[in-house]
Amino acid sequence: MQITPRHMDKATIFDVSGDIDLANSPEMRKTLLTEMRDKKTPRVIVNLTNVRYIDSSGVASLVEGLKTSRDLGLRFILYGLSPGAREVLQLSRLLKIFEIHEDEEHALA
Amino acid sequence: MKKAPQAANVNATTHVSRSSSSFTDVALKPGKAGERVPLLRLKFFSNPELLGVVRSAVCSLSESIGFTPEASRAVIRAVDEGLANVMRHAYDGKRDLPIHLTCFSVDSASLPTNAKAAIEIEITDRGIAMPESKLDAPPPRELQPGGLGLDLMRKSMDVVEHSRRGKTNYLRMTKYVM
Repeated sequence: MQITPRHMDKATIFDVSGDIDLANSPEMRKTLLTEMRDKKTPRVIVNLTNVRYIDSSGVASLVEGLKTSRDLGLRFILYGLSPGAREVLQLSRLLKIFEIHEDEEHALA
Repeated sequence: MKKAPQAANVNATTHVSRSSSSFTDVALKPGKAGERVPLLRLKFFSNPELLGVVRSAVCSLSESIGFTPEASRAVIRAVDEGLANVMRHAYDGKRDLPIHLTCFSVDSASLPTNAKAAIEIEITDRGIAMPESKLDAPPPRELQPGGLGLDLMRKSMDVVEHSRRGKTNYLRMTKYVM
């Protein structure tokens, strides 16, 4: 798994690639939370286009990101969900909790 | 530089020959009634870096025996969450303890009437038993941490059973092809 932040004027986009599981979700969590607290850009966007698999620890990291964004008054957005990522959020009853868009253009709109 | 996984000795043994018939044929037409046919055995250490290796193997197997991509994803999800629970809880994060995973096909006599085939997964470890309070806990509420892995396993598979015999924990999960 790799996670790389891209800083824009009023948004930070985190490009994530690879599988997110127990081996690397702490790294994703740390990167997300550290950048959010340091930069406080109004919109935090997680690009999951290149993520095929995400486990419960990855979901928990995204939930922490969402909670932190609420604490900081930021918008937290996901886009590019694979069928597997969408399923895991649906089974976790989180699909309607997150703001989810199809692609980057819509996430930035 | 990222350290390579310690437990690189993943021993895979398939118990199906491709020489006389296809893998799918053997898996869909298993042997005698009541017989579980082992298709794949993996023995590996409790290192989370190996989860991707196991997911790949189980994905290939489930697709080989006729599972749809959606059903395969469900099997992979349940296996991954079961193994993560062993690594995190039964072995308390220790990375050098043994886990065994065996995938079985299920004989047609044991299948529900509308099922075409099934895969049964057995995961064993020698760690701390899963507390009954966790097994009996209701599904986690929205945004509540903890318990999500077990809930995902139950929603992804048709059968999920935990048991302990002697010092060994058994997790048995079954998924049917409808």
